[in-house]
Amino acid sequence: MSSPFDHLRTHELCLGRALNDLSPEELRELEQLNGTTEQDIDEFDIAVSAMHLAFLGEVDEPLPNELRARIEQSASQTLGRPD
Amino acid sequence: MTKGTKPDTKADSSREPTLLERVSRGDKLAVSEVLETYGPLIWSIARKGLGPALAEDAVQEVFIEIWKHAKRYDPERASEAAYIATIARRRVIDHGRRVGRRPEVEEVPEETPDTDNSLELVELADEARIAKEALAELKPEQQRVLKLSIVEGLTHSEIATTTQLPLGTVKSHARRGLERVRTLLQERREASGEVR
Repeated sequence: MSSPFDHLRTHELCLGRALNDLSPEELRELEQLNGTTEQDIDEFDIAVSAMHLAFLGEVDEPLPNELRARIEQSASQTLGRPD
Repeated sequence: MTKGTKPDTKADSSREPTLLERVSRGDKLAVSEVLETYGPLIWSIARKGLGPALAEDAVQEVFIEIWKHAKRYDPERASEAAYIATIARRRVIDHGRRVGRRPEVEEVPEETPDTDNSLELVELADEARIAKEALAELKPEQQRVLKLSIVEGLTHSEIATTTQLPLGTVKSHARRGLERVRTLLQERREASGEVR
């Protein structure tokens, strides 16, 4: 069972992770505390992304055509592959 | 992408499947729609975070990640745009670390040109509208710290150097700002059932 201290520390580390402000040691500590990995997305990450979208305001440049074609090709390879 | 296009992401049982749900089922048309809808956003995040020369490789990695994790998307937790932006942010940061890229401090202008092809991000994700409201409540100094961290990808030490603020102040501004936005998103989600 986790202690109130663990809960506060997890909160602090999740906040730091979303802001890209954790050392590798702190990332490992977070993983041990709440069992999540670097790939997991939490509400702090979503809040940071929401701010990112708000700061950008609007976007108007489409993907370059060549890049888009490469991505479409990789999609058929990735999606056709089993997990 | 035309202005105002917004994917349907309602979360009730009778809703249409989201684009990511369709992608996870191997729907090729959904792949094109994701590229059309979110390509400019991901391209913008990558270019600002890495510069044009490195952005292409990073964008390819972002899309591979999106295809792989499409089935993990939960429309009750976040809008598709916020989920995709989170994947993009993570990948761009990782890519920058791998190639040893340090961001250049080139702050984005407050207003970007409004063209026929522009996509209003607050139209794409309600979270962005709520974040915009929360950011407007913060002091300009706090807003600048958050922008340098989130959009430009600077470390807190780099922000301290750029802004001449003490490192402790930078960390406190960033964390309090994030707490404020997260709390507001949580309150809105509870009030309306979910954020869309």
